[in-house]
Amino acid sequence: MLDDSVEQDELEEFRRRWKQEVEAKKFVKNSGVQPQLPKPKAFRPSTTSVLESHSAEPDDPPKRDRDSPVVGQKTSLEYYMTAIEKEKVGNLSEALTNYRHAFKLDPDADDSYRQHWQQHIAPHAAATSAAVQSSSTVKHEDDFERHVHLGDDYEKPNGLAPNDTLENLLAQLRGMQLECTPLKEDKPIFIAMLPNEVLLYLLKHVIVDSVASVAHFALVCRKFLLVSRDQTLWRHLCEHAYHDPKDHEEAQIIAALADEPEPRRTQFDQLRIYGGDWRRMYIERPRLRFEGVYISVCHYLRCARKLRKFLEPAHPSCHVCMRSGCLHIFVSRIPHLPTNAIATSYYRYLRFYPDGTVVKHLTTDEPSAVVRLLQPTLKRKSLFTGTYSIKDGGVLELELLDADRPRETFFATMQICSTHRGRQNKLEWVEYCSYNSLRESRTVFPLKMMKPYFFSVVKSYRWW
Amino acid sequence: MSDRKIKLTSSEGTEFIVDRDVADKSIIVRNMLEDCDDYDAAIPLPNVTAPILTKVIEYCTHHRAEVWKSSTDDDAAGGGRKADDISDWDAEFCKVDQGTLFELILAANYLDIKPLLDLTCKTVANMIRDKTPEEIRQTFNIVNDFTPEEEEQVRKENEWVEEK
Repeated sequence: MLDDSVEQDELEEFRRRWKQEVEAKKFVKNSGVQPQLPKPKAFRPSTTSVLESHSAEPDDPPKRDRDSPVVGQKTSLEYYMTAIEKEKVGNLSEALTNYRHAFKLDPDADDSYRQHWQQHIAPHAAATSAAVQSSSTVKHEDDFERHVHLGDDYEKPNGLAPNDTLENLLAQLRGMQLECTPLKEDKPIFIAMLPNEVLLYLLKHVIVDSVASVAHFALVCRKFLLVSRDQTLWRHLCEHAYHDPKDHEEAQIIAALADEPEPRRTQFDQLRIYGGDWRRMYIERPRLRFEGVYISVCHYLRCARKLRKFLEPAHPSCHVCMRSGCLHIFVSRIPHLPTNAIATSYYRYLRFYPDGTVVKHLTTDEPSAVVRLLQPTLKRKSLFTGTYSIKDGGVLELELLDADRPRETFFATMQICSTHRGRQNKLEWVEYCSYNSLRESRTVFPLKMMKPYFFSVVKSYRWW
Repeated sequence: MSDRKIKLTSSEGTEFIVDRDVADKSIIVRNMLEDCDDYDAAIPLPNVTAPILTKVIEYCTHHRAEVWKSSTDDDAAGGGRKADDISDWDAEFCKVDQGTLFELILAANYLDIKPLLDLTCKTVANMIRDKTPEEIRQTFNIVNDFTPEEEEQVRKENEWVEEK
């Protein structure tokens, strides 16, 4: 470690030159603009600090046999970054070779890069992207990676305005003696034999399974409408929908002993916010839905010269769609892209359970292949399990673990939202980060690649 | 205790003789028997007809060995159970005409036999679930007494629920 500083300088010099080269190539290739080099300067401090962090590790292989000249010896991070550059331009085989080198030198190369990215590239990129946008109409290479959301635009205003005329009708009906009229007059209406409290007891069985069925029931006749508005029915539903595993007596005692600064709001505190109306609370208060899955779809574009060559003899026209394994590949000509691009789709799945547990899965497999299998016991790569909690205002907090990466704990914060399509069916990212217990470091992930989750009902999922 | 016979009288005056443990399935009968241990006369059940009482006794006899939790708030409708997890015997038991089914609900409610009340309510819940309003009207023989305007108002206000 004595000659660290010398080594450091050498490395820094090399890094700078190498970075300049890469940047220069990039500019020439994409814009035809003469290589002007504002960037390398900005990158300089970053390289230093990363290399420092490397040299801090005692048994870093590239360090030890570093007696050769500057050029020809790359660190794992440099290999890794080269790999990323190659991958971006579609040169997958070279990318793979570089990734291999990187991981050979440092089994945690991805981690190192992530830290490097976190500390240096991310803030830099954020700062420059604004400048690039304003100063130049020429697209930067990074712009290939854009998201294409193919679904409907859900973001329409929700039309749940207070319905005065309906309130008038309900008030009017409450003052009336309502009886059901038989369709076939010679036959009785057996359901009308039930007193209202028994009918409500019956509806409690319906509502926890299917709120929509109660809405249908309300449309049958005036009497049923009035019954379906009974507060006890909606209270019953709210108590299930907002059931918090932490509300158990035991947990509350522990919280009290721990002297929690902010005591949890009880169901009745919440009810006050919604004017004492359980039904309104159910409609308006953010909640998680258990009868289906939240899916976030990410479409990822990257250029692919090689793939294009491979596909073109068979499909000379645009919008070719082929399947390779479970991965969708679309090839299309998009005017502003210099080469053809492939769009790969991948999915994030979230399934919540009423007991406070959650399972998250990241895969290229389509929903039809995943939803029926998705549960905490599923053994797959990139399957996370963990717990969730809902804070005031519908802020959802997840704590997740990946069985393959036991050192890493992931923390996701999301906002539960509603869309015009329905209530509480969207999860908007607020923050995503991880904590590595070995390195004792926290990594904040960029939300650029994080599309919101949308809810889909899955019939086979049970409420409880 | 269990060898003791209990006499129950239906609304028509028909007398039924059942074992004590079967009669105990009805909370109301059990309470009556606990209050007066040496009660020997028939217990009148004026709200239950003989055919329905026959069915109720059939149910209680089949489930006589089971220990039913006393009803608590936790155990309220829907709690922990879904409307379709009905055992084969119970499902077969509920294959009766609609009149009998609703009479059974009333009897279970009156006699305070919660598992029977839940079973019969679940059966009716399944007749309501996933049906359109018109299908529900047809199922239960009910006339739509909304004006078209009223119906539209209700439908509109319930739109939030119609999503997938």
